[in-house]
Amino acid sequence: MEKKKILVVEDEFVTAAALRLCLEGMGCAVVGTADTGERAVKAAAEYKPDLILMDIILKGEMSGITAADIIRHQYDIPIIYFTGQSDEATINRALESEPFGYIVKPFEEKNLKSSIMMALYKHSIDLKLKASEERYRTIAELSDDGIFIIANDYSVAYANGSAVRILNRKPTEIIDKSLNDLVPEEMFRQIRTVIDEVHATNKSKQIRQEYRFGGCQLWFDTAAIPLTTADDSIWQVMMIIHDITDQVMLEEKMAREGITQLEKNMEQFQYLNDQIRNPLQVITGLTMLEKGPYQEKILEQAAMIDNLVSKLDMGWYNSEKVRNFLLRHYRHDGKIDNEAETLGVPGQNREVMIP
Amino acid sequence: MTTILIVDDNPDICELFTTFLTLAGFSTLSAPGGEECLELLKKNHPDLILLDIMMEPMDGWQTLTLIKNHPESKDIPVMMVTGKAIMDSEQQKYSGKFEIYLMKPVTPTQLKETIEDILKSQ
Repeated sequence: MEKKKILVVEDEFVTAAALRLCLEGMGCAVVGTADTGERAVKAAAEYKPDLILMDIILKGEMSGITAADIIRHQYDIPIIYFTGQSDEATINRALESEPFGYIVKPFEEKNLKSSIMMALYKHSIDLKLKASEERYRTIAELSDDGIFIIANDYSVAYANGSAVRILNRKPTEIIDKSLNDLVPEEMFRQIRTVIDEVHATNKSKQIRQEYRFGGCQLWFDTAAIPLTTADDSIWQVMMIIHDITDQVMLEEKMAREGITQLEKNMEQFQYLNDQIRNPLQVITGLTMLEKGPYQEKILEQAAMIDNLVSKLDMGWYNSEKVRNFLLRHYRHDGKIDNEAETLGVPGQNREVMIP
Repeated sequence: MTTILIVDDNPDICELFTTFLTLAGFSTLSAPGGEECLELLKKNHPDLILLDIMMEPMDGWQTLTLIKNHPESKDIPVMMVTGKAIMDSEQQKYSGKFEIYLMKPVTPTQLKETIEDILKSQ
């Protein structure tokens, strides 16, 4: 194992020297000693030690606890306090700065060693946890999908960048604010229903829903996932929101264009039917005039063609029913209605008289 | 003698209907389009007109409207003979302007009897 670098912050020279001996005896490298809080901060920056042993009571303006606070925030170095004082007020104050250990003088080598090992171990775990949390936070932040974590009072506990963009507000206007104040009433009701259901069943739920927000019509695929603490005391719901508005619009457009194309095809059939019936008329007419031996057979065949052509007429007639059904089905706003009237064929109340 | 005007842009149809009607004892006139039909009506007054719908540049409906708008020709009964199915909206729009429509193909008998029925009811 690589020698651990340790900084000793102690204003009593004798204690500092004793500590150094003791630590080096354990196989640690004492990279420096400091006798004031200010020097401790400087030394931490200079030596980047793996661990700091810090006396709470120091000479000078800055106490050990203040120095530890600064070092923890700026350099994330684990700190073990050691002190001759063990009154409750001092211990409490020290604990607030989240130390990795607390040793009361006079120290024993055995205690010192186990405290140092514990602190180093705990710090390495902390680093891994932080890296892991950072990784997931980065993934969440970079996601194109909006991610919200909604607390049980419908306030927003977390919103990633995409979620913030969906709401079109500053992050500070979103976090800890109630969804009720962030989205229109109707949209809030829709979301609340989902959240309540997920909470009641404790099961994830996938829904596709239309929302009206900021004057826009939006379509979201939403996954709502229940989050609970180990003891079930707090629950939250994570909502992952995938904006599918463009996709839905495209589907609607294709449906509309499909219907238009159907109309066009049927119109072409109408023209074609006329074209087919003219020679058919000539064939049957001449056959009847000629009264030849095959007259019956020819008329029979011609009738079959006429029957097929009439079926196409019928198809046009039926296509109107299909179209009306589709229009009813796909009608989300007034737009499609207007479009339907420009579909080309004269008359809105289209019906074909089938002879 | 009863004269029937046949209006159809397909010359074979004109020829066929002319034969049908001649055999049925009618006198016939024919025009290959709407404009020619209107031109003919300036000098002739047939007893009935057989009118196709899908014609270019002037279609049967436009021709019908012009026939019925003209005082000289507006009393002549018109029969639509078409290969195109007629929509309800067309039926409504032009109702009163034509007597009846027949879908092609028609038989000589069907044509003769329909014409006679119309002429009788005039």
